[in-house]
Amino acid sequence: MNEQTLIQHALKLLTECEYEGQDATPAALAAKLAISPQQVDRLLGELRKAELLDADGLSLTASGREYALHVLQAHRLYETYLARKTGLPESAWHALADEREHTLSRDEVKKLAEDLGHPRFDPHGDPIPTAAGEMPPRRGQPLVVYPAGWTGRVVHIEDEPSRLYARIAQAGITTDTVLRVEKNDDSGVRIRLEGLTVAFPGEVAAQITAVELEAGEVFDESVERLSSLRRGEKAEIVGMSSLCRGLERNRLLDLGVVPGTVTAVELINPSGSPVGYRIRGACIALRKEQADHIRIRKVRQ
Amino acid sequence: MTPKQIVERASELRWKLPQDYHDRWVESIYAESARIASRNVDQQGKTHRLAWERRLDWLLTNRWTGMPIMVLMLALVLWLTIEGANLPSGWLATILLDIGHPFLKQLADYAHLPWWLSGVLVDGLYLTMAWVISVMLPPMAIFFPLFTILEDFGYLPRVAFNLDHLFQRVGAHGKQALTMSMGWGCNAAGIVATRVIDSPRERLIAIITNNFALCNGRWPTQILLATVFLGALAPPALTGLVAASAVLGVALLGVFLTFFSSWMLSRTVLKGETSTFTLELPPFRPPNFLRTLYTSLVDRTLIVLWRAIVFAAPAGVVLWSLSNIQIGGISLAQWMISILDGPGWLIGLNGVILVAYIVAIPANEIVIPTILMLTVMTTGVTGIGEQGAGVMFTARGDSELAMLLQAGGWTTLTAICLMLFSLCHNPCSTTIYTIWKETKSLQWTLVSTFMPIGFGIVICGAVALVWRIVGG
Repeated sequence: MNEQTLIQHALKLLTECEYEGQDATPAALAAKLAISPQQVDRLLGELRKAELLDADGLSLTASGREYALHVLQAHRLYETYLARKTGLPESAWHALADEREHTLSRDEVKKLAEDLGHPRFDPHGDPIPTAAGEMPPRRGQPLVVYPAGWTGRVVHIEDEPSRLYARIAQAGITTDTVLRVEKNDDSGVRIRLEGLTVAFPGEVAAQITAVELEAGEVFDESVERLSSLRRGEKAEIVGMSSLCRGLERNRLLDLGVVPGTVTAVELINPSGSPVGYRIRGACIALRKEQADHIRIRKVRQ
Repeated sequence: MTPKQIVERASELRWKLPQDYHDRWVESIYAESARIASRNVDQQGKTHRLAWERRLDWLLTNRWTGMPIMVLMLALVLWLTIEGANLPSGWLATILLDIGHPFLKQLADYAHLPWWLSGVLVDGLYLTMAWVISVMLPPMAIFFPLFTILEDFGYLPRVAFNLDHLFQRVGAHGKQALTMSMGWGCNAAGIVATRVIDSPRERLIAIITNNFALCNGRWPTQILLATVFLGALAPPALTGLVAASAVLGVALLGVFLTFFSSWMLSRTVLKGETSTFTLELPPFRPPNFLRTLYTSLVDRTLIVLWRAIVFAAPAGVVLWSLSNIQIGGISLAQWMISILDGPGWLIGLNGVILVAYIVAIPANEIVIPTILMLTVMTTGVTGIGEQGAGVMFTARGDSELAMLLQAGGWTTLTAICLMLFSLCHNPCSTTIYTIWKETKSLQWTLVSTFMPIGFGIVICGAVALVWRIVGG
């Protein structure tokens, strides 16, 4: 890592700690940046010299925070861009954004925000600072703190370490999933969502942040995934999960995958995917992964 | 409240909206329009599929019957094309080559054209063009309408549905099965047909890998070599069977390479392109024969043929000139052959074949005639093809052909490597131009052009090496 990249990474980490309400320590910085304690000391010295960091302690100065928020904005906007406009797998986003955040100028970041329609959150649910450096207060608690029977909405999923994240992604949990905690004890957390029951060890559940449902919102037990629809059953489409993004989302909307559309299974490939669904008078074949992202409610014949 | 306070309040409230607010908003706009439409628009026609449609669908996509029906249909289309094209191809050859060529030659003599002008125009430009038309037009005029009828009827989307899981594994779209089969007729048409794939990444994969589908300019090469060299190795009773299996083997190798290169591309250079999947399975419809005939003739056959002619005509001029322009008493073609003999040997071929492939970039159809002409020129064999340097011809029989090529130093290895190289080499210029038109990207055009050559050099080189080690 070169000098500038290192400085930007350090500032970003300090802001993130500040935002999450954690105390930053030189040891934590050394671990996160993968450098020696001596190098951390030298780095902090330079940050103080540049007046980005308070003379004592690890809190940022106004100019330091402003600079850090720019990097954070670039990082999160670029991740949003990768999610919406490219076909790159989720696992590649973070590393690419880590590279690009250092090369994007302020004008480029502004242009990117404009092109994406000023998104407020990145695909993991992290708020994207505005050009003025605004960020909302942090919301929600990790899933592990909620008791059995609690219902709520996922607002953030930590994407590192990827080993834990992969399990969450595999279950199709995303930043708009409504769920109910079934069981929460030493062995882990069991949750119910979209007609599925998923069990996570505590360390995985801790990666998921959830909030209380808003007034008027309820956990709807009858919501399932289109992929669970059997031949002969009918269902009404409730909506699409936020995992269905960009071009694909537009395409499905155009084809009539909209709330209220009634659908049924028409043709099943012997291998189980794709399946042909009757949607607004046409038979549309969708792959299993796509049908997983469509939420339905079965209707009685 | 002051305006400033209002703005502040607004940006504060903005964060309170649900995260997927934007998406939900769009969704409800769509839902609302759907409601308005269903309230106010009367729909005519049936909403449910009829019993026979359900039964037919079941038959076509079933685990046990789906595949055999598909293979049978494909075999039928190919058989009809090959058998049906023989007769009109023969007529065209008689008219354009046997009658047209001598006639034009005489005309040029009456007009007292200098020898080189009549050579360039009649022996070069006209003859190559006539060749391409007579070999290419009939199969295309049969293959494409048949294909369009299947498409019209609604069968082709079912094929894509059946094969999608195979293509999904290599990161491609089920509809690539269709563009690949279209490529068996003509790669340029196959590439135009990739427009049915609406996902950018999968469409690029289909375009780049289409060249691995043997086009009708290459089937004759395969059949000829398999019959003359491989079939001849077997006892007479089995000749046909051995030759047919060899051709089938090469075609299947092409399918395998399509999958392999799709897998490679989707995981490397095309990783970042956006990808989506939807496949509409339309209701079965009786095909409209007249419209089918018209659209497939105008949209596919004539456009492709026109491009081929535009590219083939200059190639004829080049070929004739190479054979007749001499430097130091030796023709340009011979210079090139002696330079390329070494590299050719390494991949089991020879200089003549490589020169033929360079000259024949505009159209695969003229590869074999060019090889024959160049072989006669370099070996000095007499008795066949004595119209002169730069004039293409066909042999009158398999034994004559075998004799000629063996005089040119050909072995079984040469034939095998040529069959493989014919599968894996650059697309013809018509196809390259079509790729450029469809992608508007120099990068992908270059990848599509050079990737198959890379495959060809590696495969032919490996085969030649193993053959020489094992065979001594």
